[in-house]
Amino acid sequence: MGSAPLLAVEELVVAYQTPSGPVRAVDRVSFVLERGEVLGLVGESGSGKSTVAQALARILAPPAMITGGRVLFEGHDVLAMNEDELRRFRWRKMSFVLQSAMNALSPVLTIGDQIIDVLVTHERTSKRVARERAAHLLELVGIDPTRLASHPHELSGGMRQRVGIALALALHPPLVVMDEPTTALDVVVQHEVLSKIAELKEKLGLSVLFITHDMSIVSQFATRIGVLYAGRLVETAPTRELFRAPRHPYTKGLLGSFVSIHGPRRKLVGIPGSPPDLRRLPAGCAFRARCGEAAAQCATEAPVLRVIAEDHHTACHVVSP
Amino acid sequence: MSVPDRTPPLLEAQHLGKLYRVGGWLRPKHLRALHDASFTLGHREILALVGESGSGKSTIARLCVRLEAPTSGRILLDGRDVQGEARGHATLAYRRRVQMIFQDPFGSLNPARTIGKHLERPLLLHGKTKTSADLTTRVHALLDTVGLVPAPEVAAKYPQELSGGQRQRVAIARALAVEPDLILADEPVSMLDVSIRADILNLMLDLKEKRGISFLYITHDLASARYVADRMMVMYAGHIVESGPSEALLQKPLHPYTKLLLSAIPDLEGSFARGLPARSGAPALVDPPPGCPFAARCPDVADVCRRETPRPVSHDEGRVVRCHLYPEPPRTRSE
Repeated sequence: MGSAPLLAVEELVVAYQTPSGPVRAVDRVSFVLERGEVLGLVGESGSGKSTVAQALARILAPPAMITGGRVLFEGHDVLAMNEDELRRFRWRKMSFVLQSAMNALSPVLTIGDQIIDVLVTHERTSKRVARERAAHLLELVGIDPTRLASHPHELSGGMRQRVGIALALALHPPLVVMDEPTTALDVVVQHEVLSKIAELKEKLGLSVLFITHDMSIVSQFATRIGVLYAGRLVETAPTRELFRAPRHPYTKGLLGSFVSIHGPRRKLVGIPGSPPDLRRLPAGCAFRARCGEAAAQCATEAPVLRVIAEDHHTACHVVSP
Repeated sequence: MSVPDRTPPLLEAQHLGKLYRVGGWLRPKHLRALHDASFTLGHREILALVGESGSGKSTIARLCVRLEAPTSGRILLDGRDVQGEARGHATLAYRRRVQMIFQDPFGSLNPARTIGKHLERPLLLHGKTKTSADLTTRVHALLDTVGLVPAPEVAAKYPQELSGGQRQRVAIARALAVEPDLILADEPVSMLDVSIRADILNLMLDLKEKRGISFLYITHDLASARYVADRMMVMYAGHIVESGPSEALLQKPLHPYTKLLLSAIPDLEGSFARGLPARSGAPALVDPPPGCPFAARCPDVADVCRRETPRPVSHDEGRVVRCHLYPEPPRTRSE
């Protein structure tokens, strides 16, 4: 079935079971990722962005549990898969680069052995073929193949992070989920890793779900952006449209919080207050207490995502199409 | 020539160097964390210290708050050498002038102590108050200053009841308790959410304007440095490679490393296709080779760069660059 989108997340709910009852870290989040697309999922701490990534990888550990919704990969429900199906699915169909990927490598094995290990285990290739492919993978992420013989501690943080990306690409998955893959890196290295990802997207037709707290990073190569706040998607739009005409007050505030090195120096405003405590979410809109445009309706009714322009959705009572 | 202004700057670093002994007991090596760093910081001024990890910016901070002693060079406060003074009492006197706030607002506060207690301690330790009624008034005034209101309510809270941004305000209030002239702020916003960074940066600007407090703002983020700092210094491998007024430096960077750093910054308006003028790579800090530390990565490298370490050269508009590309300051007509 070729018509199903590559990834469709429908009404996903992840709750943490606490003594005082379940707390929803991800609350009815829905989005679609088409082939060749890079979707940027942006949010601050507590927005649920990393929980979404962990739910997709099905690596959530108690007390966090998926309590609702579906995750469809090419129409197949990922959440319904058993361990065996999951093992065949992960890395081959959807792989992951997590924030600490650079620390996820074994310190006692060489880079080459670790990549070869993955290839031999999953594809039953011969060691010789696997070694050639490992060398090719390193080249792909801009690392000299002689580094196959290096141990992780001999590589810089940026190089280890790129090895993490090479591993994620090893089995040619159509989709890679990246959760803050460059947060721990210096700007020059970050720029190199990001351009590498952008290049691979073009070269391999890769689709990427890119999760970050930093809008300026995804502005460069995401085709679409979804903004998360307190576990809910509050706005989704094509990247250009979102930066040109943000509609949700939170998105507007977030964009106004960025300092730039270009253009005139303007007064930074930021957003008053801080993100809400998910254990004590107020009735109505979660952003209301920090919102300068809140109306009476916002105190009682939680807004849901609705279309306000072509391909542009916002969950806000005050915004009109 | 007119008589030069002899009022000494608030803080002056002269040829600071710091070596750490690493590795082998029989054949020790030396990690050069800081090399020949000189700068001044004036009253009511924010000076940003910008660099990537390992550039030596935190080493400068540690030397400036006297957590460590420099291997060479000296630090002057109001023109007086602070290193010669005895430890102990002198340190306390120094701390009354120079305070520090750290990156992690979660690690720098004691979870078993209320916010009020955190602020009482420096007030008592530095003899800022005598009576308990006055103590409470002062604590509340400090909280007011940093915008944590209602103050009596906040004073009764514990750190874990506050958000990251609020905790960083407490850290600033604690630094303000001794009425310092200078605050060293080591990445004070990098662990905070983007939407609350603005508040802390604006608070720093406010304290400078209204109270005349100077800041040494240490960061890896050029954009926020531009926002708060009057002047900035760019560091690479323990060297201050370039310094000058923030706008002038960013509009027309001179040092190839500054150019690289600027082009690598993701920006909402920037385009990504453009490549970088140089590649990433870590400089050798342990027993470094002679010459410019950036030579191995520099697109404009010449032979002299591998032989001789460039010296800082002053240019127009208070700019200083440490690069063989700019050997002589441009001549000014009046001379």
